[in-house]
Amino acid sequence: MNQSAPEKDEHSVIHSTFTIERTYPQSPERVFHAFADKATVRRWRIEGDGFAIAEFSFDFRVGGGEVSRFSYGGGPEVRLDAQFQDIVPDQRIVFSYRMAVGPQPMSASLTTVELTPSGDGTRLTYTEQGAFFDGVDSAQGREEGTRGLLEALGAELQKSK
Amino acid sequence: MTFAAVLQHLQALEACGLIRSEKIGRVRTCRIEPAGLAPLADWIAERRIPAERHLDRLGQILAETDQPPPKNQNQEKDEPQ
Repeated sequence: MNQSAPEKDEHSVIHSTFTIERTYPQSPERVFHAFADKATVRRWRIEGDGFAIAEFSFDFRVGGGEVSRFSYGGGPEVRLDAQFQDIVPDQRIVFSYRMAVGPQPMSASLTTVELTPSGDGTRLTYTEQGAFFDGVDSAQGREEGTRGLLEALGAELQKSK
Repeated sequence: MTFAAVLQHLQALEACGLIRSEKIGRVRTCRIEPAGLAPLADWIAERRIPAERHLDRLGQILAETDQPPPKNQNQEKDEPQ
């Protein structure tokens, strides 16, 4: 256990859970397909963040997984290793994933995506439970990440005008 | 809940940096340490913001790939339909 407030260089771990909800006008089958189909996943989750993509492998089955490696603006490589833990077609996807920036492990998470019919559309509930490791809360990393986010947001807003 | 249990909970919170306590005489006063929550907020922001963005983009891509693009309900993501 921690003996004081977690700081940058201490060995600490933070556990946290958050939930995001969205409603899409498309059917659960369509939304599920967007999570299951490699090309579609690449479009909405991998591309468009302004990252240089070094690797994206994707095997959608229980026990299968994903490896993504990317970097932003010449920064350190970010690596995501995911494994599918449970798949119920059109209803539920559970996956665990680990993130690292360069040699530094950042976090390990368990994510549950639930799809329920909502009128003619789909209600999506995204719940992520995670362990956030020590030493990754560097101001530099956060600033780079935030800058990347804001630039991606700007580009997205331009496109959707 | 026993006094000992309360004390144990407070000690755990203090060990995590979420509260601070001060003992004056026989009275121990605890107060919330707002900075203690910062790492948690950072974590949530680092995960939640990209996830929010991805799910918004998913909505756009689903709308783009609608065969006859329905123009009435593509925009509102949180509208119960």
